[in-house]
This record gives sequence, C-alpha cells and structure tokens, in this order.
Amino acid sequence: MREVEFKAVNKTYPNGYVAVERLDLRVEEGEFLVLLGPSGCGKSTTLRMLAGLETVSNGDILIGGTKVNDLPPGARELGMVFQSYALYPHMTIEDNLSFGLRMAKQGERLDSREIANRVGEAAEMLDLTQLLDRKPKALSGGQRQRVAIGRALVRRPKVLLMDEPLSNLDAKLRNQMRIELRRLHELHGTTTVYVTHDQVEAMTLADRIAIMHGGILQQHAPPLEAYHNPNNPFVASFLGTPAMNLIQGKVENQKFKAGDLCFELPDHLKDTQCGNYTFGIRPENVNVVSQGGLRCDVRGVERLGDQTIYHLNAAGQEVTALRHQQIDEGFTSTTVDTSYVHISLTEPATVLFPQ
Amino acid sequence: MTRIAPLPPVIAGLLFFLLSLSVNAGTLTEVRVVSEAQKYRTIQIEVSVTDARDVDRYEVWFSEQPFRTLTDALLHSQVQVADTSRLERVPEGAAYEDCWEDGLPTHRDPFGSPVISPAAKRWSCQLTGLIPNTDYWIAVVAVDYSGQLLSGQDSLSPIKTRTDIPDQLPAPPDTRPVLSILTSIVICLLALFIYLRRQDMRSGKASANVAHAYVAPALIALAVLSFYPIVYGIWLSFTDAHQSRLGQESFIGLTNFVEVFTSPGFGRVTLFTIIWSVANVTAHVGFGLMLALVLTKAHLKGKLFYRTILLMPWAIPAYISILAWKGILQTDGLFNNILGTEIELLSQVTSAQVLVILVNIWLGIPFMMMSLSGALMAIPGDMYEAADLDGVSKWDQFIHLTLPNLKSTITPLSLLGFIWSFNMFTVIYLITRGNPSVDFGQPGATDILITYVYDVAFDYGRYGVAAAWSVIIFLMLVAFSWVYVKKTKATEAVA
Amino acid sequence: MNSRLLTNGMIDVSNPNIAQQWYVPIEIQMLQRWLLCAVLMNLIVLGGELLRSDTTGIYLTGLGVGSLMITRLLLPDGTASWQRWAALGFAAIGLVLGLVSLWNSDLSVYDYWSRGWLILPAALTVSWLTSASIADWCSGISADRAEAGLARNKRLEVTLEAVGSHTLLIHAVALVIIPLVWIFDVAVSPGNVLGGEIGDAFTLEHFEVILGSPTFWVWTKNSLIVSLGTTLLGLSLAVPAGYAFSRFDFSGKKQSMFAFMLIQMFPGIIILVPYFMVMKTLGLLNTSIGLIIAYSVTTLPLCVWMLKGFFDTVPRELEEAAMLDGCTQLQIFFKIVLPLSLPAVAITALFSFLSAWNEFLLALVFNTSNDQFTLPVGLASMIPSTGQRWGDFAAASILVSTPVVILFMLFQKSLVQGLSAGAVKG
Repeated sequence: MREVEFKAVNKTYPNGYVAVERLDLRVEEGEFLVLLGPSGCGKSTTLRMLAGLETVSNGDILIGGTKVNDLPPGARELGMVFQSYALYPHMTIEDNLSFGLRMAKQGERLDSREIANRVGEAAEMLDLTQLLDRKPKALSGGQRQRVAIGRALVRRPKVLLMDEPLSNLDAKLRNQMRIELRRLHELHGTTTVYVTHDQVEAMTLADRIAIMHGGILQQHAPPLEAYHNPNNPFVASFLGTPAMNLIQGKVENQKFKAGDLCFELPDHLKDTQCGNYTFGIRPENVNVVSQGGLRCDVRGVERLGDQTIYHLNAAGQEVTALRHQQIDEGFTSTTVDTSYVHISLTEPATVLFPQ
Repeated sequence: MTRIAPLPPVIAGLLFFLLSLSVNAGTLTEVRVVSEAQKYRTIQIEVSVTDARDVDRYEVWFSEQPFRTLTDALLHSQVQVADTSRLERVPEGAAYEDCWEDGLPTHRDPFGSPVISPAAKRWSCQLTGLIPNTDYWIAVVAVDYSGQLLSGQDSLSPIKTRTDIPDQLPAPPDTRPVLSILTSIVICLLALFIYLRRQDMRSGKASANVAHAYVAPALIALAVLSFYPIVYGIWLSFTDAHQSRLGQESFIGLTNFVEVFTSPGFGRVTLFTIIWSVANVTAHVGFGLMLALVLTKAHLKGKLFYRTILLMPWAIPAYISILAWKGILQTDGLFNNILGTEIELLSQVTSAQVLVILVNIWLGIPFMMMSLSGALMAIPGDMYEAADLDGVSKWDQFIHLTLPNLKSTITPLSLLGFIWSFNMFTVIYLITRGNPSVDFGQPGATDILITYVYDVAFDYGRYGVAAAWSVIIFLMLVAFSWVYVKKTKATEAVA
Repeated sequence: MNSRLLTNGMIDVSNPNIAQQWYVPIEIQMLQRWLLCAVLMNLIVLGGELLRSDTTGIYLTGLGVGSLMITRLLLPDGTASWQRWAALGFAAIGLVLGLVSLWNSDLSVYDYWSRGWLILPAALTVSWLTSASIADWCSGISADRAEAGLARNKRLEVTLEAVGSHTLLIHAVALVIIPLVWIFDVAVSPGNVLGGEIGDAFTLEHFEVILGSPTFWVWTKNSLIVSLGTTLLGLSLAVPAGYAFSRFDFSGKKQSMFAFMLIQMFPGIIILVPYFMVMKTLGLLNTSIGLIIAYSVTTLPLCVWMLKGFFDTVPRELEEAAMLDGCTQLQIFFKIVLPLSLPAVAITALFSFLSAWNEFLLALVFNTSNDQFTLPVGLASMIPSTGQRWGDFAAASILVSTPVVILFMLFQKSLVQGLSAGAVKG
C-alpha cells in the first residue's frame, strides 16, 4: 500500500511554461526509482508535486491508492531529503530529528518517550549518536546529509523522496554515501523516489530509472536495460560516458549511409526498412584494431590510465572509441604516433533509431 | 540707570490694592525703545504699566514687517506677572536677557524666565538674538490667565526700530585652557601614530606606511570632539558649573549626584523613560515584523508601492512629521475633527503619555521593518518546505523556525532601538516639552530623562547637575546593555 | 545496526479518510484569524467612542465586540453542527448592531470606516456560515467532497490571503498617509489655523509668505552651508579612515576600530552639555562651523563603517595589478579605489547630508539666534506655545521635505543597506 502512481500528470506554470507533460508512471512498493534527466527536464517538479510543494495542473497523483493532489504536504506521510539538506540551523541535531514529530497535529502526536526512542534509533542507524548535541553548522557535509536522511526517516514515511541529495558533497563522499543509501534501502525497503542528474548515481542506486527530458518521460526501465536498449537517441546519449556515438543517415539496401560513410548493417538490423535513421553504438563497442575494418583519422587521444578514449573521424563522422588499456596492445606509447587507426564494431551492440 | 530700593511688602501690597481700583486693566501706557542701551544684536525696550490686574504675563512680539495681528509676528519673550516674594532676583548678566522692573533686575522663576510683581509700574527687557542692521517692529501685549489678550488690543500698532550695531562676534572668552588641552591631545596622538608607524616599518608591514596617515585625521577628530567631551562631561558632573559663572566651576564631589538621586522627580521620570523605551521597542519590532512578513510574501501585488509609502516616516525629516502630529493632536486638529470632539489630548497626563509614545512608534517602524525584511529574506526557504512535509502548522513554523532565525537580528536591533528610544529627544521636546507639568521645577509627566536634562542644562543653566544626570543616564544604559547582552548570550547557549 | 526503525511498527494501512481528516474549509480558517483582527479593531473603535462619550455608540460598539468575540469562540470545528447555528446567530446579532449604528444620519468617513469593521466581518461570517460548503462540512462530509474541498481551499487561499494582506497594508498606508495629506491640506488652507474639512479651500498664500520671507531663506542658507560642510568635512575624514580599515594591517588597527565602535555606543546626551561648553568657550556657538564640526564627528563612526563595508567589496586584485604597474599607494587610492567606489561614497555623502539636514537637538542647543537657525530649529520656532503659524509651517515643511524625501526614495535601497549594516555592526 505504499506505491505511488502518476496518472497523466501535467504541470503548467502561470507564465505558460510546461514543466511536466502527461506523466504516467507507477512506483511499486519498496521500489527505488530514480528520476534522471538534465536540469530543467521536470524531474524536480515531478518530485515536488508528489511532495505537495507544487500544485498539480492536471491529472492525479496517488499514494497507496489514495488521491493526494490537494492534500497538504504534511498529510501525505512522506519524508524528503533536500538538495541543500534544509536543516534547521538554530536547532541541535536531536531537535532537528525530532522537530517534525514534536510538531505533529494534536491527536497524532507521539509521546515524548516514543519520540526519543525513534530519534535514538535513527541516530544509531546513521551513526549520529555522538553528534546529537551539535548544531548543523558544526557538522561536515556528509554528516549533515545523514541528519537530513534521518529527519526524513523518523516519521516512518510511506515514501521517501530525495532531491539531488548528493550533489553538494565532494566526489569521494558521494561514492560513500551512494553505497550507504543503497544499503539503507535494502535494509528497510521504503519506497523511494530519487531525483538526480548524475547517471552514475542513477545506475548504481536505482531499481528502475525514469529518464525525463523537456517535461516528457522518455523511458523507464531497470538501469542496465535502459543502458543497453535505449528507447530513443536522447536516452542513448544521456546514459553512459563517453556518450553513445550517434550518426544520422539513411538505410538503403541493408546499408547505412551518412555522407561519405557507408557500411553494411549488422545482422540483427538487416530487416530494417529503408528511410532516415540514427545509428548508435557505444564507444566501448567500437574496437580499435591495427588493420582491417574502417579507417579513421585520429583527432585526439585521452589516456586515463585504465582506459583510453579515441576521438576519431570516419569519413566525415565523429566517432568516439573507448578501450581499456590492457587489451589495447597496439597503442601503448604515450604519444600518438599514427594519424589514423582502423576500427571495427561489436555488431550485436548496435542500434537504429528511426528519425 | 537709577536703582530704587525694594518697597517694603506692606507698602507694595497697599500700592497693589490702590492700583487695582483703576478701570482699564492691563493698560500699557507706553512702550519705548531705549536706544541708548542698544547693544550688539540686542534691543532694549521699556514698558510703562498702569494696572496689572488680571494680567498673567506680558508677551513681546516682533517681526521684520509691520503687523496688525499676532499671527503675522513671532513671539520673542514673556514676562510673567506673579507674586515675587518667594523668588530671587538674578544679578545683571546672569541670564541671556536682562530684565528690570522699576530699575532693579527682575526676579526669576526656577526656569530662569523673568517674573515681575503686579505692583511694578515700569519694566524693561533686553531682546537678544536679533539680526544686525535690520528693521524690526515690536509690540507688547498683556495676556490674562486664560491665555486671552486683554481687551483693547485687537489692533496692534507695533513700534519700529532698527538694530544699528553691525554684526560682529562678541570677543570669545578665554580659550587658552581648552585650546591647550585639545592641542596636547592632538600632539600626543600624533606622537603615538608616528611611533606605531616606526614600529610597523621596522617589523616590515609594507602596506602600512601610509595607513596611520589615513586614519589619523578621523581618530584625532574623534578624540578631540568625542572622547574629550565625554571625559570633560564626567568631570563637569562633579563640579558646580552654572551658566552664570562659566569657566569658574569648582569641584564639589558627589553633591550633584546626591541631588539627582534625592530629587523628587527622579524615580518617576526614570520609570516613564523605561516604559517609553520598552513600549517603543516592543511596538517597533512587533509592527515592523508584521509588516515585513506581509511585504516579503512572494505573490503580493503592489509590493514596491507599499514599501515606498511605508518608508515615508523614515524619509520625512523627523521634526516635520513630529510637528505635524502635534498639529493633529491639537484641540482643533485632525484627530478631534475626525472624532467630532474637542478634547485637550496633550494636557491630560495619560493621553499625553500614550500619544507621545504612539508618535514615536509611528516614526520608528520603517527602520525595523526594513531591517527585518532583510533578515527574513536571508532565511533559507527550503527549511519551511521541510517543515511543511512534516506537517508543521504555519503558526508553529513562525514560532519555531522564523523567530529563532531572526533572533540574531532582533537581539542587537532591540538593544539599539532601546538606546535610541531612551535618548529620543525630539518627539517629546516638540510635542509636549514634557508637559503637562506635575510639580513646579520637577520633570513633567511626559518628560523622559534626556528632555529633562535639556531643561536642567539650558533652561536652568545648571550645567553641573545636567552633566550628573547625563552620566547617570549613561551608566543606566551601560548597565542595561551589559545585562541584556549577558542574558541573550545565556539563552543562546541554552537554545 | 538497528533496522527496527522502518521495518517494525510502520503505519501500514493506507487511510482513505485522510482528506476528511485534513479538510477544514478555508473560510473557517480565515474567519478564525479575521474575526480576531475585527475584535481588536472594534476595541480601538470602542476607545474612540469612549473619547466621544457617545453613550449609544459605546453600547452598540461594545455589544458588537462581544458578539464578534463569541462568534469567534463558537466557530464550528466540524464536529457539532449546533456550533454553526450558534455562531451564525451571534454574527447576525453583530450585523444587526452594525446596521443599527448606521441609522444616525450625520456620518463622517471615520464613522463609515469604524462601522465597516463591525458590519463587514459580521456579514462575511453570516454569508460564509450559510454557504453550502460549510453546511456540508458541518454535517459530516464524504471523502470525495472533502477532496474537492481541499482543491477549493487551495484555489481560494491565495485570493483570501491577498485580501487579508492588502487590508492590513492599506490600513498601514493610511496611517502613514493621513498626516501627510493633512499637512498638505493645512498648507493650502487660508489662515494660520488648524481644523476644517480636508480639501475645503485652496490658497497658495502660505507658500507666498514662506518664499517671500527672508528668514526662511536665511534658514535654508544656513542648513545648506551646514549640511554641505558636514558632508565635505565628514567624508574627507571618513574616506581615508574607512579605506585604511578595509585594506591595511597596521599596529593599533584593532584599538582604533574599537574606538569607533565604542563611540557609537555612547548616547549623544553625555556629550551634549560638555560639547556646548567647549563650543561656547571656543566662541563657536551661533556659527555654522560649530555645527559642521559637531555633525562631522557625530556621523563619523557610522560613515567609516559604511565606507569600510563598501571598500571591502572592491577587489584587491585591481590594486595589486596597479601596484605592479608602478602606482604609489596614493595613486592607487585616487585613481583606482576612489573612482570604483564612487557610488558608495556618494551614498555615504547623502547619508551625511541628510543627517545634518534633519538634525534638531544640537542645532537647537548651539544656535540660539534667529539668523543662525537651521531649518529644523527655524521651522520648530514657527510653532511656539502661543501664536502658532500652522499654515506657514505646513507650507515650509512641504518645501523643505520634498527634495529630501525624493532623494531618500531614489536611493532607499543603498541607504537602507548601508545604514542597517553600519547600525548592526556598531
């Protein structure tokens, strides 16, 4: 009974800007759903509508089967972790954690012993017990982050909402917290909606990713499925670094043509009808070989130690190839000594998007 | 000038009795300018009186143009007519304006204004502060106890005169002691700066080679014109300094302080000052916060318009709005017009006290409003969203989130507001001058400490006592601030 | 690791009645606040009636206050439907009382306003309590209706809150504006008297008198000399000091800054008497120089703090670049820093000017002769205890304050910022 459902939800601002358009999405009980997209794609607006901080222009939002469109935020039994943590700066950590419980409506208020219990449990779980007397100012970013999570959890929310919670942390801490968040979720399985623009977070945390762009839901699928079978060029280019190679051209006689570039389509795409398409292949599926295959000019090489990224030009089309160092035997020297290379494609990993 | 020995009281009384038989009350037989007594910026007039019956006071009016009614003239001075037996004569030169009755210096009331006995036949007064080389028209009128002009004075015929002695500043008194103190302060400071600069140069603070030269003028000005007067003021409070013997004050120990503490009005005026300050600060912060809260709402239309208008009490020169309020509160002013009444609002103790406080509240709200809206806008908004999600009511959010976060602004602002209100001179001076009076020579019902100090210093000329009052005010403020800072620090540590 | 927090004891049942629980019609929420305000306003009105000693008015208003108060206490909470009827009854009584008090034929604007504060809230209460949505709610509402009600609340809340805010602000604006309108009316009314209806006559005679009076121009000249002198002297002292405090590290800096802060804490009163005596001894009473010196020093600390704050925002890199180009300290100050912070210096200058232009106490004490009066003392001298020239004073006030108010309003943002920064720091 803790599932969330968006039914044809629209959000139009008074100035006419459409932030979210016809969103249909279901978050199952216990699921960790990540809303992913570039900034301004409507993912935060979606979350804020679910929280009740923004009004819904059209459509319904249901939590546990109950329509909540017009319920005030406090009635929805949600917990939310804000990007800036939104801790109460003048309260100690203990007060921060217990404030919501202490201020609950008359009749729903817990007795003070129960409040203390819950705060104690949350503090223990998040390793905050030593910090309960401090104020947020005296805490590090990661500690504040944990307080924010604890505050969201002490109310035992139906759904936990997180709005880019890791974006204010440095890279190392972010990795730690990612693992921590996943562990917490596995521990108690609260339905979670998590907003981020960082695909690494999305890939590692999510049970399912919902990718949004321009207010429209592009695809929702488990992370690896979205990665390997993107619905459209946007999803394809948004997931994965470096981004997927996308070449616009047309299919004729089982061949793909883009300007001077022309090659046979892989077997699984042979049946494609003629027309305009975008051809896609991930950089790691572009193999750099010493001979044979397609000849490309080398525009630049980035050596990252464990992997090397080649920026290539194949008959006028930009192509990026990514090779892991140990199997990249032909080109171990630190300087580019060739102006061209040959590439081949790992054929099953290619996709075609109709234009 | 001829001097007549004072008449024995019995004869004076008899004379008064005989004179009061005369018909034309308050007739001024002659007003003339004593041209041979003219001094720099000063005209002396002499007035002959036949009958002082029903006369409460004589008023001297003047203008630079001929005038027929008093509305076209300015009041220069007043001479009261009263029983002088319990008052003292003040020697010539002790007051700003010398006055004589029947050739002798007049008696003076505790405020220093001249009082003549009803028996006096002839009195004269110096009118000072006139512009040199200017024509003046001067009229003297007799006023009865109800403030009305006595009959037969509907049409005035002021006499014309001219200030002939050219503008020149009077020779200043001996400035050497003061100047030598000031010079030595300056020299000491300069020496200190040069020494400090040497030190800095030696220790290699490269940027500092001009720093002292930059700061020196401001610091010297501050030392000479702020710190020195403060020290001088403290010294004065232990002396018998008086306007009649300037530069000859001598040390009298704690006498002034004893006088202040034992003076009958001390407790009352202190209490009213505290009520005044607390009421003002509370209302300033309260209303300021209310308006700031409304004005920082996101979706309010016409915010700029409202803010501009609400800033007016701050923008308009305070003395002007205060005097406007004084006009509004007159018996024929706007307030009574609106209610359709004719209440003397400013002559009843309670209403006068409440009204001066209300006027000062009116004046001070915009400053608090602006300071608090600045502070309100600095509070992060997502904190309130977090509270919304926890189902915290708007009222609880205000009490538990907004107020505690404003505390760091409100605390110093309140202290500042308290000190400002404590020393707010203009409102009371201009609206009531401390009236209605309670007891002769004591602070009035609306006097606060600072307005009373003004009276002591500049109406009675008792500089030493006034300095003692000032020092006491200062100590009160220091004590209050100290306790306040301690208390707020303490609560901050607990919270 | 304790995992009990979320796995145990969770509220696991979805609550279909949640909308019913949370729904309170917005009208009721608003009435709870507004009736309280109405009661307060009516108490003020009652005070007015007491001043008038108008017996009927006192009774009507008193009963009105009572009925509004009871209405407020009886506002329905959705549990007992009799409360609605009771509240409705008392609101109706209030309404009738208000309407009865309108019976009087000779009513002023004030009377309409004061009765409005009884009639409008009472009428609003009656109409809202009889509306279908409240009746519905009081007799137990279905979940669907509650949901629709929540949606309606959201829509209406914005409007109603706006109405509330505007009512409050309009009252505040009226309190600010009325004295100004009145002073303007006095200025254009004939004769030097108060009273009379606003806008009943129009004459420019007072302006003619003031503009034709040499004394007014003498005062204006004095004020200008004093204010400009203060600005110049004050700034020439404050600008270098503010700069040095902002930029240099030198021995005695801390102590000097503390001195500036300390002096701001001293109330003016303690230096009033000694100031006067020093000025008297030096023969500076009744001169512009005395006031200029006094004002420059009294505004000095705040000016220094304001300027220090402004200089702090000028990037140091610019000066360092100039230093690399071979500029001396003085050149840097005059060629780089001063031009860059000119707006800030202008604001500080304006502040100095305005405080000198408006200062009353020192001007009153120092200058006792009419030809040395500044405008504040001069204008105040037009309102002595007898023979007050209100019309002339009002005209002069308008002439004096208009430019000042315009300047203040034009630069209010920077002035307010600078001032509150300086004030809070001090």
